[in-house]
Amino acid sequence: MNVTAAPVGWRRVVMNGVPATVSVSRRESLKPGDVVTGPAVIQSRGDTCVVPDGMTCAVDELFGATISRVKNPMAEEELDAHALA
Amino acid sequence: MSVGIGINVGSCTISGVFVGGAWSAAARAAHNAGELASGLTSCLDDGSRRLGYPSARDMLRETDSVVVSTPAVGAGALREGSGPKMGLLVTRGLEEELLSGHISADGLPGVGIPVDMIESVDEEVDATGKTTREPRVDEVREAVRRLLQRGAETIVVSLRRSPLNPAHETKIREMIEHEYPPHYLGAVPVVLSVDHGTTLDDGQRTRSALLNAYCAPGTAKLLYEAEDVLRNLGFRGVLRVLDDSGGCARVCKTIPIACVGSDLAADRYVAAEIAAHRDSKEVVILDMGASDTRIGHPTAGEGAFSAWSPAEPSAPISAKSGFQNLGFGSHSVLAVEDGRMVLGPKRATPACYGLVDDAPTLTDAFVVLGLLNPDEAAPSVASGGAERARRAMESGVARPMGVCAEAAAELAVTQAVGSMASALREAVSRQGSDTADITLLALGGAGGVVCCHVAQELGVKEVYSPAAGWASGAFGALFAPVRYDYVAYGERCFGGDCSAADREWYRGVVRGLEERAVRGMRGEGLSADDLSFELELEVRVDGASAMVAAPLSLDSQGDVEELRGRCGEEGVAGVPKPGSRSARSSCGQPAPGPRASRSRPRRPDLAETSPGSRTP
Repeated sequence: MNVTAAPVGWRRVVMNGVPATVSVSRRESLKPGDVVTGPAVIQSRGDTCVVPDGMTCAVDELFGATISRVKNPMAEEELDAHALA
Repeated sequence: MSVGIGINVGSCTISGVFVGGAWSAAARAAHNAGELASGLTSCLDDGSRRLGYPSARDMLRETDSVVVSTPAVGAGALREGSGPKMGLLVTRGLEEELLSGHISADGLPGVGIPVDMIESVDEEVDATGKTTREPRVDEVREAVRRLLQRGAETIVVSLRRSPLNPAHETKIREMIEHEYPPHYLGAVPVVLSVDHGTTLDDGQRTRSALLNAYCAPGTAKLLYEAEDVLRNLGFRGVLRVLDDSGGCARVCKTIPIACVGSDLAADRYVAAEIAAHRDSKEVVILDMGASDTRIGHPTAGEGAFSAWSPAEPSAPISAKSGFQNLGFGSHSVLAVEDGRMVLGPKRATPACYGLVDDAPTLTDAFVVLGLLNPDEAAPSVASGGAERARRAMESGVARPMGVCAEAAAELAVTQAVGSMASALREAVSRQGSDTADITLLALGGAGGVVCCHVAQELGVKEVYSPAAGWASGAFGALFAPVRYDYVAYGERCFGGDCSAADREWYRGVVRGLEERAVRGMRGEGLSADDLSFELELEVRVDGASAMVAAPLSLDSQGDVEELRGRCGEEGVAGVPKPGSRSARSSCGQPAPGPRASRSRPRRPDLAETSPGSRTP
């Protein structure tokens, strides 16, 4: 079950040239199954992981973070339509 | 409980991974150049608390093994030219050959040495290793005196064909030590080429000796300091050092230049573990640290040492190593030249830390954009880091470019991301893969900040950021098997059919190496059943030579043909008669992860001349 992790705060950033307010999560607080939706910043005592808009971060059982593009069903349907055409 | 510790000493931080029973922990601490002790002690204290021990002393009492990766000190010496001033003493006539091929007169890195720091002496060893002219004491004394007068801080002795007969190099060292009493010569070590390379390629061996001599003082100081810290805290286990082959050895067996690529070996182990865990087909590493950014395939290429090339003096880790060093890291200074933003090569402590430097760095650009919290990046610094980063960006780059601090920071990050994306695209394409099919592994302190932007630019679908990816160098060190090299010299031409006598000679040489390896490893507490062997031959054909992986025995003509085939793969192709010059057996525990092949200097104290050798 995926659980959307609650942020510990918010921060003003400039990401891809666009100012935005993003959520800030603590890496140490994330548990396996947690999901952080971008735009977001995930901080830890050793590094920082920036998750841009349109991507999500899912935490696995080794507490590693897989960051991937959010699936857009509409876009996939369009692609399928192109492929069929 | 038995504890294992992996330590990575970076250019400004020390990270550690501590494993005890089913538990593991990671810790890190800042350290300044030349002040390893306090940083290492802090890291050990932090790690012991996280692992549940009252103190580092309690943890170290139960620690069997510590493996240290020290890539930064040698790399820093090569990059910044901070090694000792070297004098080179060679066989008369060899200096012209060296300067026309293997070394330059530009000084390190290059690898080169100024012409006036090269002296020669008359001596000769023939092709069978027999002495035909001995070096004269008065000539050696004068040559060394001139080098010392010109400021040599280390003297490297490299004589023609010395691996066949190291007596002349050894004799010259004795002459120098006799002529210059230790109290005078104390700060001027003498380094022999046979101590840092066994290849008969005089140029390659000389380069190896120069590089090792250059990196040695800093590496030795760091390792002895680390050992002091550990012993003073009650550690009674074995301290080993990770090298670029992915193996580890005791401090006394460590080759300084091989430490430079040790973090790449560690990254390879981490990548292999993650790929196996995730069942990923293709993992590509993006490791951004303070000094460097490395990208590459974990399973491609060779150790970093073999990739060091005079043709690429600014790129010690070239594509041949499977990794590419982009020449900048998160502490690279941002500057404006001719109205354009320039990233590196100078490095500085980020202005946001408020310590010494106030030049803007890439880290300051991350802070200005809000991507990095300076209090998290360097918890020990005073508050106000964001404001310091902004001021540095404004004065250093924004104002000269006529833009605001945010725009300058955005430009710096875009430039860095563009460089990484471009290099990654090329690396993936070289492997015949598509960027859409890879998993990008974000390692290093700043890998996570940029990896998604790089992925977006390349169309990479998936990025993986492991827990404590900033400690990958320390984590990977824990996987390193004990690994030693043993060398034997012999020479035989395998022409036409390989006779039973040839095959028996070959087997005899290898058997001798195996026996020495088993004896040596017994001292490491390993029995013969724990060991695996790899064999490499130096094959020389018409002046070209290469190290070629070889079977432990040639049981049939088919094995000989297969060996010839491998010679072709290693660049000595089209050759009907490979003659083996030297055989090296690598011996150690079976590696738990991928192992890179390598062709770097061999451990000299183990070299010997095979009694059964003969010329072709």
